[in-house]
Amino acid sequence: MTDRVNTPDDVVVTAAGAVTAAGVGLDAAWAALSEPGAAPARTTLPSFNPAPYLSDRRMQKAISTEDALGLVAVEEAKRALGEALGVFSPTRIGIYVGAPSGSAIDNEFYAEALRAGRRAGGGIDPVAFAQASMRARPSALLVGLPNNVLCYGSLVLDARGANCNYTAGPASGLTAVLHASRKVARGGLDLAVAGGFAMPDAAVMPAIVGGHGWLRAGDDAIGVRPYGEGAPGTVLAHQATFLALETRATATARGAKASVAIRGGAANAAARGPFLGDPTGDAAHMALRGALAAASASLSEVGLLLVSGAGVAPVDVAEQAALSRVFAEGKGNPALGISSRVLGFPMEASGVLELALLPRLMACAEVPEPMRPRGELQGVAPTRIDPSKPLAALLRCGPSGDAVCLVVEREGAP
Amino acid sequence: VLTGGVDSMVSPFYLAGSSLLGALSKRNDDPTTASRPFDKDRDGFVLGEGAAMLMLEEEGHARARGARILAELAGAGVTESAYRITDLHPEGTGPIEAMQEALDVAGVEPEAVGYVNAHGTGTALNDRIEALAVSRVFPADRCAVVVGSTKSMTGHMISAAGAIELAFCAQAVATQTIPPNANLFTPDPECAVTLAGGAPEARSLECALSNSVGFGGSNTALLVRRTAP
Repeated sequence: MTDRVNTPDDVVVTAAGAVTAAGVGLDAAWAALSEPGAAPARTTLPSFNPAPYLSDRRMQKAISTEDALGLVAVEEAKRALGEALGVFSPTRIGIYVGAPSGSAIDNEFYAEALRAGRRAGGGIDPVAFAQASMRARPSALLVGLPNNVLCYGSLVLDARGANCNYTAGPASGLTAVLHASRKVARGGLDLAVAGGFAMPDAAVMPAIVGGHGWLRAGDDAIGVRPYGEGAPGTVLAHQATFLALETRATATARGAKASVAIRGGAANAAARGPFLGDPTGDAAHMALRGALAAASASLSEVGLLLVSGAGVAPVDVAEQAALSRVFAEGKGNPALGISSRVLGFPMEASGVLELALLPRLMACAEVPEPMRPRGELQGVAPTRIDPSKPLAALLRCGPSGDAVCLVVEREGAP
Repeated sequence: VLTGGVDSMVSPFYLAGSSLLGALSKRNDDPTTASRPFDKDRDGFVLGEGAAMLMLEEEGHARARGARILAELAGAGVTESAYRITDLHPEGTGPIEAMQEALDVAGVEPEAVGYVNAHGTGTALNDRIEALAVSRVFPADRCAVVVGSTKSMTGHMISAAGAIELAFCAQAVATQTIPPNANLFTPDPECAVTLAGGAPEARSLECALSNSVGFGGSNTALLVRRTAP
């Protein structure tokens, strides 16, 4: 099979929508990440009300709050695109989603029905479960079947082109962006809206993460402290970010201002088993090297490297092993930044927010103080962002060996 | 690349959900014929479970290592057609665009396709609209395509369905055999396509197409082409 159109062109980011625990919008996230001092971490949105941000509030009745979080980020990306969305043919618009699952397995509707249907001796009484579901909300059983963010997002955008859902743990969101950018570069879409979302606070995900002993036992207000900083464990976060991707030629033709260009990317896996990670860091290192090769760039051109700093043991071990190899290469190392210290670890949304904020980050002389690594990487990784280096790299790893890396360039860089 | 799907939704959790959606067959007294895609008396699908993986590699690489090639993956089309959360658009626009894209990517005319492995769930709505979509892409006056649903035998394997149905298409062109569409007792006159019979049929096949439709409007069509020995 060959690509129908093969006219490689830079893919650029022309709009973004984000929801973080700091609020709706990129400004709120940037304020949290860039303000100096010891502000408390903001990781969750305990009373998130999506209604004011949804163009059709009826959608809220049929989806979980987690899905609504993702949908609000899609809506925000649409608002950022504004009238420009009408320029594109619906069949040439696609949506690529990094999601906790193909459908929301841990939403509040199911949790309620499962509690009601639980048998005393174990297992689920299907009749009681079904009745409880219907009492809770007639549409409850629709929640777990489709990918609601993909489905409702396509309705919001009138996107009828190619689409895909990725469930690769913390690598999901950036993987969605990577594959969407490839689809756009090959001419398969004129506009892709891509990103990820996660609100991992219902019953299932904390139980899984906690069952492995990876949840922070203590104060969430200090955020994640990865790489041996003295407060082991992760702080799961609520976050959603979606980006609008198009070729530079398309953006230029419609007079749109691009913020970032996707220069190259790579994804791989080095699984040793579920949740066993990749202690060698091979997958992460290969993803970084693969992304640089795809961008026809070298590490010495990268001014800023943004990693997950998840606080999840196998992820930290893999990342740290990969980073050790990167920083052992000597002079000209990139500065290192970690958003999880402030905004927590947003699982499937991980990394997409930083991509949206990259122009602001790279305009800084140094990595903002709250995002600087401590622990075993303090002093190893530079904090100064070399303004002569136009590239940044975003690296994300999953606990089962998934890794993805994007190499990007700030538009208008000197 | 190894690629495919796996699913196992035969559990109280999903059975209750699918049942309440009205998507499951109620023919519990006759389970072996409950899955009746394109039959006039179909009343829903039967949940299946399983997994399918396919090995994809560049043709030259496969030939160099002496691999037995089942088929060429010649084209793919992916579209989104969210209309209602579980319903297809009544005109089948999304599947039509996906199938057309698969043909375009492959550079194949509709006449070259001899078999369509339909999504064919056995729900009243899906089969009628899918048949309409297939007849639009493969007009009867130009094409001699046979349509069948192997879900009549496997049940609906949900996330694994598309993968195993692509494998069936690859086997179809490799063996020049159209798989059966079981349990077709009374073809639905509203499904105006040529349907596969209840037994395997030997037939000269140049290309076969696997069509899949997901809740929420995700449509995928994959086209395989016969390869030289």
